[in-house]
Amino acid sequence: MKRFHTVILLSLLLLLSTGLASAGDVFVIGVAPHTSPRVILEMYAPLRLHMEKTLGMPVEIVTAPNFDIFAQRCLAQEFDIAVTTGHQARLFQKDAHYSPLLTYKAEFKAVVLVLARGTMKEPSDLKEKDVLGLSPASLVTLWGQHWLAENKVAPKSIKYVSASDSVAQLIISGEAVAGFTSLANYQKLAPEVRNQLRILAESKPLAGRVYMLNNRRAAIQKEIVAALWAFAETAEAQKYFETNNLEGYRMLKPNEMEEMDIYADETRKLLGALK
Amino acid sequence: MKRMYPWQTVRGRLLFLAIGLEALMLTVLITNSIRLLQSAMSNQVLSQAQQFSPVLIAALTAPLAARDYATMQAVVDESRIMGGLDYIVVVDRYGHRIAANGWPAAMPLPESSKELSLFENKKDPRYNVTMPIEFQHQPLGMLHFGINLSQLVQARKELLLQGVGIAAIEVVLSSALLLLLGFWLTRHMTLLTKASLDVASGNLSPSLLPEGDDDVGQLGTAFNIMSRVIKERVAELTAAKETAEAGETKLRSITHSANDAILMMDPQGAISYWNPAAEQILGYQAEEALGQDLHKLLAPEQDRIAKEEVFPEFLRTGCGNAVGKTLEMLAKRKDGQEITVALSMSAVFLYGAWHAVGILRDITERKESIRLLAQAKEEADTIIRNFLDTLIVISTDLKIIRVNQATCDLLGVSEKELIGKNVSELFHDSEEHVQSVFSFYTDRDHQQLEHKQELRNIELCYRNINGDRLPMSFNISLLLDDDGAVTGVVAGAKDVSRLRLALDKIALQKEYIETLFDIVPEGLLALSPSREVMKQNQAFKQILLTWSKRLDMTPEECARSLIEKILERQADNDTFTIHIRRDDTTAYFRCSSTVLTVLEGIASVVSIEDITDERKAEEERRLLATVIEQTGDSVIIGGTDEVIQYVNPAALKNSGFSENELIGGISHIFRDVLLDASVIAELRNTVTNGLIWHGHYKSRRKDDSIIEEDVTISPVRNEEGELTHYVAIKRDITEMILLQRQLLQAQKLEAIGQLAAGIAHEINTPMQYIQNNVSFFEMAFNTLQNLLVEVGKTDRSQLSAEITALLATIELDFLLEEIPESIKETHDGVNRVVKIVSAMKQFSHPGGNDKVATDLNRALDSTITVCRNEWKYAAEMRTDLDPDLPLVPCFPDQLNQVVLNLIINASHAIQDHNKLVAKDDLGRITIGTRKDGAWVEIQISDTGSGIPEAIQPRIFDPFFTTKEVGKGTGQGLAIAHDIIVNKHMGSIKFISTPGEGTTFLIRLPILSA
Repeated sequence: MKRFHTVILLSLLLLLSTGLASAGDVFVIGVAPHTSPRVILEMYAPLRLHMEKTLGMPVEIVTAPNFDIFAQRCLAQEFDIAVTTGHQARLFQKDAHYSPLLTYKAEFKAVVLVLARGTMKEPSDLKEKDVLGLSPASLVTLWGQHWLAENKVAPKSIKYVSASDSVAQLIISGEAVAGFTSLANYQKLAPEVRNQLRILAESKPLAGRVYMLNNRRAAIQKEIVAALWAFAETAEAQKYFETNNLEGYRMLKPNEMEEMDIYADETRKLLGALK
Repeated sequence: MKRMYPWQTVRGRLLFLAIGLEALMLTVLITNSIRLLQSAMSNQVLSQAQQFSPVLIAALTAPLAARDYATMQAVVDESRIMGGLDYIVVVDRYGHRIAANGWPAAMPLPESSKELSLFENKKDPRYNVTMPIEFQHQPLGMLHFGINLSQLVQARKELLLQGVGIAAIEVVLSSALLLLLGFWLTRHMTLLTKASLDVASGNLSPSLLPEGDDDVGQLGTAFNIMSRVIKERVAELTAAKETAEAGETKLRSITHSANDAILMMDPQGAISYWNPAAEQILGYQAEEALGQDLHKLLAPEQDRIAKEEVFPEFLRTGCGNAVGKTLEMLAKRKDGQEITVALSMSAVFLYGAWHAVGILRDITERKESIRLLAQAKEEADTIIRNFLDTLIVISTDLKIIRVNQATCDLLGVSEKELIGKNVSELFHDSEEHVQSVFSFYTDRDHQQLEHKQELRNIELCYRNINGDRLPMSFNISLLLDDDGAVTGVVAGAKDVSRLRLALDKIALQKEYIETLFDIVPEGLLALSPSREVMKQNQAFKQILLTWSKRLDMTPEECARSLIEKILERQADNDTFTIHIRRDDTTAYFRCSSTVLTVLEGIASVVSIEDITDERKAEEERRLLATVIEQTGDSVIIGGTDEVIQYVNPAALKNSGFSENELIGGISHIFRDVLLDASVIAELRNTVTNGLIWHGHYKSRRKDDSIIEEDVTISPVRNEEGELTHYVAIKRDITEMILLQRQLLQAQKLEAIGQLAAGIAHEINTPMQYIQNNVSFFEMAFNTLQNLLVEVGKTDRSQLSAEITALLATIELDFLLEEIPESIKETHDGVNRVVKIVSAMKQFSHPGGNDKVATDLNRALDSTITVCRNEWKYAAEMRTDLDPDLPLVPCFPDQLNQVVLNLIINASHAIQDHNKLVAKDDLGRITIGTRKDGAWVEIQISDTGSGIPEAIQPRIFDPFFTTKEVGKGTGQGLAIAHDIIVNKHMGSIKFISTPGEGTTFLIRLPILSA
């Protein structure tokens, strides 16, 4: 009897939550803060307009002040779709029951940048030196820390900065000897900045930004996936892919998410430490 | 004179007017100042709002998008500190307040202000602004803020109070000044007014006004003089008036009784007298006419010029053409009608000038009767004279009394000969019949006479001077006098012989056209002006039969659809196309409409041609043309003279030539001297015999690069079987050939690799035995050597006879010296064999699909060893390999092939150089490696002939070679370039000095691309 009451209560809560989701009538796409909020809103505006037209409801693009808050909000089920790097995506899949939909075709690689004409030739040269990373919970930073560990290198410090541009500029200005960023962001640097840097090491391809669907939208997952693929065919999407070197959407490969487990676990610990 | 209130006096009014004006101006001034102040303040507030809004929105957009509430609150707090704002509140898109400063959380937010409330006495005047925050059209929230207006309201209030105070003082001062000024200016006005009123009331001797020297005193002097003169003049006028009134009464009684109009004109030409008869004849009342210009009022337009000419003379002398005469002339009545009048005019000299007096009688009706009579006669004569048909007038005794010229011309006799003849003499018909016709009015039973008094369409035959019969159709009418008695008949007749012939011809033509209508191959449809089908031909019926079956409808339905479409489009064009579609079947028709003007209006004939097959053929042709335009293969069409007539876009792209350069050119432009003459002959022979030629040949592009093409040339024949064109379809297979050759090379290397591995295995095993055995021999010999040395040193007498004999037969010292040397050489030889086999095995090791980390120094060693036979007779080999070179990700088999090609090229270059300078010295090939940052560099230098500057840009082109036939394919460097640049993302460059040598630099990335 007690179990029956529990089932009834859960059913009512489920109905209430579904009702609330419908009553809200806004489809929220959360994008990880890989760049400034203005750029994110501008970058995803074509997708927003397309999804609004296709789904027939208002669509909102939101982001967060940093990766940690983004992850907390995602775990708090604030987003209908979360667009974020593979390790956070894996975390949301495991801990918040988001479902992976698709990712970008372009390979995502993390790199270690050093001065092109500097003295840093080998990983061991970074011992007892200052190293830069993006947010502690960002994939490139987590990969960089693993890379340092694999090479048995203990840097003097790891400082965290907000953007790839900042990483590059701080290395050039001598405030750090190396920095972690993505290969795509390295390639997007201005030529005069990029020419002063070189890649000391690069990761194998990692799961880049993954579109994760909140379980509360599972009922319309087919329509959402169809809408995303339809968006990829539009001229606006092609321009968006071309401008951001994303090459288009692709399905996720087998085990691609599982390979992110090591970084997802690390992220979980970091988030736990923040609480 | 009555007493006047201040506002009735001039000075009172002036004073009130001036004060009023000043008060008005001051009010306008203050009001305008307030208005301008309000406008400036409003603009300032709006400007402030416009400045605040974008700044706040820009600052809030990013934190709103990131939902960064702390940053938002910080932005709001900082913005409020700047001052001027009562409150700032940010609301998200769901209506939740997410940041606020200056506005209580419990209080609802105010509405956005519609206008500035600067003049409302509110406690805290404020301008509320509500702005949406959105980015890229995405609503993010709302911004509410209020601008404090209290300072502006206070400033406006002070300005208003000060302005009103200053204006009041100014009005008081101005009133006092104007009052004093008015009293001084109008000091004599009261006396002047009283004196003037006396004169007006008949007192021509009023009290004298004070006189003086200033302008007011002079006004009094002038008034005194004026009152005196008026008094004298009034007395004179009274006497003259009485005399004139007596004469005028007498004259008026005469003229009022006259039947003719009596007019009088003064020297200015104006009417000065107008009697009642003039009113009746000319329509103007006396009051309308008097004072008007007589000529303008009465004379028609054309007669006015005469007045201009003679009137000055009349004024001077009282004479003129019309004076003293009675003239007929036209006069214009008030209603515009022109009437003819008889005018008798005389001159009267009055008041020192000549006046004209005219007596005028209306004679219009009399003149009109005479004119109509003359006109009727002239018209009758003209009609008879010019009547185109024959006309004869016959008296009641049937004599001809008048004929027209047409009758004379038709019969060939003169009028004179015809007049007086009996009418029956003019006709072939019997005399009785003719007479009965022309005296039909005597037959009382004749029905037509009773009704119409005429006969119509009576056919009789005239007889002309040659006796010919002339069929005529007569209309005969009676001539009656004033009493209605018959005085004769008039007979008009028309020649109907040509009409008869024309009708026959029309009947024939109609039959011909109807036959033609039916036999033309196109469908024809005749439409009436009301757009109804009048006629359709056999071809149209056949179209209906054919397409009703194909479209699965009845012929009537088919006809209806077709005609509806024709009628829809007919108005647009002369020629147009229509179609009928049912399911998947469509019929197309080309229609041509011809307009015909008929009695009922505009009719039309529409020709309908079935163009369905033509349309299908056109669509197929267009499809084919699109395929040719879009295909990646070159399509070139030339005439039998081999002149190019068409090239598709792919041909332009593949050849590098423009359309203008190719069209009209000879097709050899591609082949040049690259193609063997025998192949050209075979090609020509094949296509001129009407066969298709297929093969490969090399073509030269515009930039002189050479490409290999797969070519099919097909002859094209016309319907008569004559050869008219050649079509060449060419596909660039350069890349494919390169790939094939690389594949072939790779397959060869793979085979060699497998073979080498087998050989290495087979050779290494016995070589192991040999090495072991030689080592054993060496060790054993070293042991034996001591023994043999001791034996050689032993006295022969102490040795047995057999040993002494053996020692005598061998050269022990020679053996002891040479055997160790032989063993050493054997060791060297075996080691070399092992090294060569190992190098071959490594060189030809088949590569996989992925790059592998490779020791480049080792790979270079192997390649140098493998191809030793290629260079050892031409050059010495030096290596400068960096021992710290890192492993490089690459395809080792392909890289070995590149190095092998470069070493062989270097060897050939040294041999060529030696031939050129006629020497046999060995040249030098140097191979070096080094690390350069993220790159590894391989240098291969030779002391050969170098590469001439002219061909340096082309050495990596496919098929480019300077080697003699059979020695080079022209693909070695092209393949090397492809392997290094495209497959390894590296670079290959060279530095060459002709006569001194060449250095190739290969750079490979250490990190895999």
